[in-house]
Amino acid sequence: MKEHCEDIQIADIEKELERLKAIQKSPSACLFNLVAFANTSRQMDSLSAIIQKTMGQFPCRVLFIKHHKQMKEPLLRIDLVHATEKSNGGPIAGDLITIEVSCDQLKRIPFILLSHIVSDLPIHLLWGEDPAKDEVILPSIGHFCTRLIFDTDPKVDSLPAFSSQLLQTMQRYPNLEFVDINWIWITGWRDVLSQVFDSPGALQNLQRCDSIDIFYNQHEGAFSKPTYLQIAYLLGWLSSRLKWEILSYESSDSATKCLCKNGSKEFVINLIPQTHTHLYPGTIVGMDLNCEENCQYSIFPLADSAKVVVHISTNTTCQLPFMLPLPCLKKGLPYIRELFFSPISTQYQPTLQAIQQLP
Amino acid sequence: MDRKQFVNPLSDLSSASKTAEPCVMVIFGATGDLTSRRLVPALYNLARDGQLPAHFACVGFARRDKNHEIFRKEMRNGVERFSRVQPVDDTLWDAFSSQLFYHRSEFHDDAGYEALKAFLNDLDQQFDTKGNRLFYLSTQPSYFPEIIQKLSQHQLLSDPKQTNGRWSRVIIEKPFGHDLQSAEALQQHISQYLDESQIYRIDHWLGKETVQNLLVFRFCNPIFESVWNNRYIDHVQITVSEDIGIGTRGHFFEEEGMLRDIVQNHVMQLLSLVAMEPPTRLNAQAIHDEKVKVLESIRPIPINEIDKHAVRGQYGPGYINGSSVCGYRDENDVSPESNIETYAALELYIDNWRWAGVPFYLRAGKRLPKRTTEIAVTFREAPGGCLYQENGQTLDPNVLVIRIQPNEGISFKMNCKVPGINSPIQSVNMDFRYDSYFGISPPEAYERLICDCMAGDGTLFARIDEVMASWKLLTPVLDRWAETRADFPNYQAGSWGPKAADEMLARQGKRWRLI
Repeated sequence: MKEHCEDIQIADIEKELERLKAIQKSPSACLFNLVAFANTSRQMDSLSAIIQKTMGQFPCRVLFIKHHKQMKEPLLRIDLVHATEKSNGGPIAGDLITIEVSCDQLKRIPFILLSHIVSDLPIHLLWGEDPAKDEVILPSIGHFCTRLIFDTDPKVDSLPAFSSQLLQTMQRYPNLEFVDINWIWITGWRDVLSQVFDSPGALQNLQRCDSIDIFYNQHEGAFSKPTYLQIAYLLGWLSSRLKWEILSYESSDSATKCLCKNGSKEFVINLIPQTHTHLYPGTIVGMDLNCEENCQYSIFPLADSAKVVVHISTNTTCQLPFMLPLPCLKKGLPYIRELFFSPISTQYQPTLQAIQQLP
Repeated sequence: MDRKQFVNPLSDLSSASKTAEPCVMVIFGATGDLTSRRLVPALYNLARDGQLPAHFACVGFARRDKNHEIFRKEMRNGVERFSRVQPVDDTLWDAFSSQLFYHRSEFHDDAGYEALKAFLNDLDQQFDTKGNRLFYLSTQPSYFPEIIQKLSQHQLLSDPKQTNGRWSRVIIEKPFGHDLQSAEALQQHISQYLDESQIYRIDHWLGKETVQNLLVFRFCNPIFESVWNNRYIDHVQITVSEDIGIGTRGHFFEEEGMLRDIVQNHVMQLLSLVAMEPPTRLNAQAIHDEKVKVLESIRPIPINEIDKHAVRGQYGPGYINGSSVCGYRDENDVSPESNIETYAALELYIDNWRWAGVPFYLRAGKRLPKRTTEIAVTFREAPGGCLYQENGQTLDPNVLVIRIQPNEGISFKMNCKVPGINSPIQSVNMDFRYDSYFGISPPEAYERLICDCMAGDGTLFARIDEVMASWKLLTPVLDRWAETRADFPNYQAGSWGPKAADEMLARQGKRWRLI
């Protein structure tokens, strides 16, 4: 159920929200504030989808800033929605304050935010791009906030610079938890690899691998283009955890070939694009690992399932395939819970530092 | 490198929740209600949430003639009816059910245990479950000793002192014993075969989110902890009220009664969580230690004063939700002269510095007006005559109510001025409701508990000394009630219990909350 009103005055925001709440007789509950910021229409659509899922799961107040960079005329327009969603438990009610703003009016936004945030509750930020680029809103409210969730898409050759700037931004806001959605999206694969190589022997195989093929989805999605960030995170994570060094990489149409070093041993990681129209762009879709003495690991998702099938074989043996969970952290409650409530991984910063070292 | 010394560099400890270890779970009594209503739906939802170990299998052990396919089909029906998440995901179910098996045997049959051992070894090979075993005794308590003895006899229980990394654990359903003597005998018997670290006495209430929240509420909100003592608290009421009767459990209930069925375990657990001191650490041992300390501080009820501090009741015919219902003695499998209580109320005192002089009133009953479980902490009245009382105002005491089920949440009653000139003072409620904030359905208690047992965390299970402490306190009451016939029935179904329970509080100038 939704009630909305459009193009209202800033001074009337609270009064109008109360009026909308009274119409729906919705429960009075709010878990957190969510300030979302988008610069392009793709980002706006992408963040809208996340906001909708969030408001369907948790009662919250959302302030969604849509920055129309190209607009020449001054624009500052406020629309309100009070929505009540049915859930498995009781109804979930939330406020959505959408602020459409032109470039020259952007400087007013922090003041609007500060007077309309629900007090005593966490403030989470949801950024549609690299937060290091923002110089207006984040400097004003960053120090009050709890968590910054962002989705960005740096070009391949600017990954080290992206990483470096992000690390600097993290130092500037030491109390802010930084959550890259692309990092969240590889959580399942990190867990899978951690479980597959969860013994001294298996880990040794990984350390002695000759080549790794990582397959990813290059299909462009409704909201975003394919991003190399998930792959970069996975490689950065493996490098930082296993002390690998990425020496060089070379792209062609069929694959990107990364030459890596582990101690004195060199090996190759091939990043192989595939097209899967039903998957998000950049999603990792499988891995083949070729280790010494013809030991092979093959890890691929089971169709239409939140599991991967793991095949391990050597010259002389072929183990029975087994399954591991690969939670689909792109939808539903697990995703939203991961975005807002999961502890920040201590492995994230070392991963960024490893990406910083990319040639 | 020894596996125990191995630290996986890929493992993310900062974000990992407790890791349930690979294992085979064997459910004894798998054709009973509990398996299809609670256990398998819990396992399914754990699989669904990615919380089930990657290497896992489950074997139902029972005497009825079935095979794997029939068992899986029956379990599918159970999941479809009782899983908290619907609809059932076919693909997930196919993968999950391929890990479900059935083993037919009698509980006393040696050949059956040998066959089980061979089968479990095969499953270890197939699922890489590393020889870890979780045995869930979902049977009548009378079978516990025999099953555990047979498991040991057939080398199905591993020795925790051995360092081969394998473990075996046994989950035992309540009740643990029938009274103090039988609980001691049972413990003596099973401790011949099992270490305390291997025994998980399940009280599924401890797996409820609202019960777990008791510790968070108490120890993460200093404002409440600072008034959580006899200087500020007048008394505490713990109520477990059911509107249903005994249904088809007449045969079982006639052996148990309310004190054994609900008070000795669930209610005493709630009391210990409400009254305990802060633990030194957030681990199983520290929490259990504090619970035991408080249970052992409860003043034993003098034998000659049991009737003064313990009230029993049995429902007669009455009305529930507008429909007439029969009395307890008219229920199926119940003796028409039954002396079993369907209502029990106690007045207890905890003799320690924190609680000296604060009565704890516990009540549990069937066929009461509504289904509710709550803890109500009533605070002392304003000291020395509040200003407003001089003007003839009556003030309600502040009451903090923790609703365990339903309408899970917490409310605080306080006094407020009604707007207007010369207006009275009115009590109002500050209310937090789980469903308004966390609309999602939380994991079921069994999901949490099974997962914890697989991870080797005994925090939410009852330790033997907790069990013994509550039996020690309540066994004299049980003995007294067994020896004397009560004038039953003494309350009407749909009412709040016998008058004697009201009189017990009235003697102290108090009364039961009208919920």
